[in-house]
Amino acid sequence: MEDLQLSLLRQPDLDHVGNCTTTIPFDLIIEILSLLPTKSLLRFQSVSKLWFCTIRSKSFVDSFLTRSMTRPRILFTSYHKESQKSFIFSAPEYENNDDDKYSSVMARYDMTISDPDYYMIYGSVNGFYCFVGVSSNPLCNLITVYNPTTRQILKLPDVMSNGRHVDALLGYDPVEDQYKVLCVVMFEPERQDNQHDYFVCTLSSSQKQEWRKIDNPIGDSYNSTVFGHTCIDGSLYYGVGESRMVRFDVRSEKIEFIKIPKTSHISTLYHSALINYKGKLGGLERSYTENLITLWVLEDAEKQEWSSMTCDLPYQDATLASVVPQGLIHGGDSMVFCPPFCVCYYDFEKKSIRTVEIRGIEDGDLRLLGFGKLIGETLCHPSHIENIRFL
Amino acid sequence: MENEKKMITLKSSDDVTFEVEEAVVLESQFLSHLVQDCPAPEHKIKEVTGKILSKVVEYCEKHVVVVVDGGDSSSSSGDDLKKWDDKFIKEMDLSTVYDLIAAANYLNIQALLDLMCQRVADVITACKDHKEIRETLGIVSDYTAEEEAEVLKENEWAFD
Repeated sequence: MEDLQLSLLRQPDLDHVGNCTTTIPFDLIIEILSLLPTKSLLRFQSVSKLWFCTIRSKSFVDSFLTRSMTRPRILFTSYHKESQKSFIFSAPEYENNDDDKYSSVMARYDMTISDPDYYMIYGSVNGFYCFVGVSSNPLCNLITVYNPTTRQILKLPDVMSNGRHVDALLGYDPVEDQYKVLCVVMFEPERQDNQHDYFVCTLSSSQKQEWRKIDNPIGDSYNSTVFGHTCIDGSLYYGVGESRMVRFDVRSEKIEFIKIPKTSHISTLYHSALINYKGKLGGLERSYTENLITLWVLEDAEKQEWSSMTCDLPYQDATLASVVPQGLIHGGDSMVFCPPFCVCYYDFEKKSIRTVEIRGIEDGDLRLLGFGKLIGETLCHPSHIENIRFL
Repeated sequence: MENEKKMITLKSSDDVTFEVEEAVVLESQFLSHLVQDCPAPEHKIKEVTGKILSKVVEYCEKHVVVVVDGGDSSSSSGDDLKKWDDKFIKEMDLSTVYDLIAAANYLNIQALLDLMCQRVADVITACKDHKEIRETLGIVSDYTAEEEAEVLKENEWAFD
C-alpha cells in the first residue's frame, strides 16, 4: 500500500479535474468532502486518484484535524483477558450546554487490537496511540502505533531489551510536523547501577523506520519506571519519581529534568495523571486519605515554578471512590473520571458532578465474546482527536 | 413615514428579469459590491440562467433581515428558516443543486453555498460505495483494477 500511496501522492494529476463531468468546481468538492463523516471519507478514497490524493493531502488532513479539535471524543480501551484482545471504542465528550445530571451516550466501536502481545497504551498524541507489548521472545519488546480513526497499524522494529524494562512514549513536533516514539530501556527500577538507554524512532511513510540510540547527556538516571505522559507543544513529559520529571524535546531530542514540589506526588504515583492545562504542564493528584484532588500547574518552565489548587469533591460518591481523574476538558473547566462504563465530569466552577453512562460498548466483536463476564480493565482517554493522517 | 424601498433589477443570462429590494441584493457579496460601485437600476448577470437566478432570489428574499419601523430588526425565526431551507433543498434535483453551487460561489452567498454543499455531502454520504458516487457525480475512475483493489483492501472496514 505504501508504494501505491507514494506513487499516487507523487503525481497529483490535476488533469483529472477535467474528468469530473459535474459542474462543481473542484475546490468546492474539497469543501464538500470536508463535510463528510470520517468513515465515508476513508471509504471514498477509492472513487478516483484525485479523491485519494485530495483526502490524503496535507492541507486536507490538517484542516480535518483542526475541525476534529472542536469535537473531541473520549477513547476507551477494554482488554479482554480470555481472547487477549483489546477493543477500542469512542464517544463524544460531554458538552457544557447539557444540564442533565445523568445522561447516556452511544459509544462507537473503532477497532480491535488482536495481537495478543499488545495490551498497554503508553502515550497518545493527535489521535495516535502507542502500545508496548511483551513478546514471546524475552529478549525483545514490540512497540506499535495505532490510529483508531483510520485503523492504521504501524509496527516499529523490535527493541532488543535483553530482559530489561521498556517504556515507550509518543510525541509530536509541530515545527517539523513529525511524530516520534521515545523508548526508555532500563533494568528493574530497584537496581542501583541502573543504566538507561534512550532510543528514538521517527514515524514517516517515506523513510525506513529504525531506532536511533540517543545520548543521555545528563548522565543521570532514575530509579523509577515511567509514570504518566503528556505531549504539549513539542515537549514530551513523564514522571520518574523522586520529585522529578523528564522533559524530552521532540525536535532536538534533548532530555532534561524538571523539579517538582516536594509535597507533590504527580511524578511518582499511579493515582495521578499528567495533563495539558491550558497549554501548560499540569498534574492531577488524588489523595487516598481524603476526598481531595490537587491540580498542579508548571507556571514557569524556566524557573520551574509550580502552582497548586486543591478541590474537595462535593460528596463521597461511591462510583468515584479511588478513581483517578484522567484529564481536564472544556479548556480546564471540567475534570474527567472514568469509573467502569460511565464517565463523570466534575465542573470546577459549579462544583458538581455529571455522570454520563456509556452505552454500546458491548457491540461489535466484543458481543460474541461475552462482554461483562470476561472483561479486564477499561481505560479511558479524554480529548481524543480524530486524525485521518497516514504515517 | 415609511421610507421608499430601493428596488434593483437583476437580469439573467437568458434575459429573465427580477425586481428585488436592495436588501435582498446585499445578501450576495458580489452583488453588493456591484451595486455600490455602479449604481445603475439594472444589472445583468451573464453567468447565471433565469431558472437558477429565480432560486437564488427566492433564497435571498427568505433570508434577508427585514428592518421594520421602530428600528427593530427581525427575520424569520431560526427554526422556521431551517424548515424552509430543508424544503427548499428537498424539492431540488441534483443538477439544479450543482448549478446553484456554481451560482452561489460566483455571487458569493456563503450561507446558500454552505446549504448546497451540505446537500451534496449528504448525497455522497448516502452512497454505499465508490461506484455509486462515481455514478452520482459523473466521475470517471482513473484507477487501474490493481490499484483500486489495493485501496479497497486497505479501507475494507469502512464499507461495513
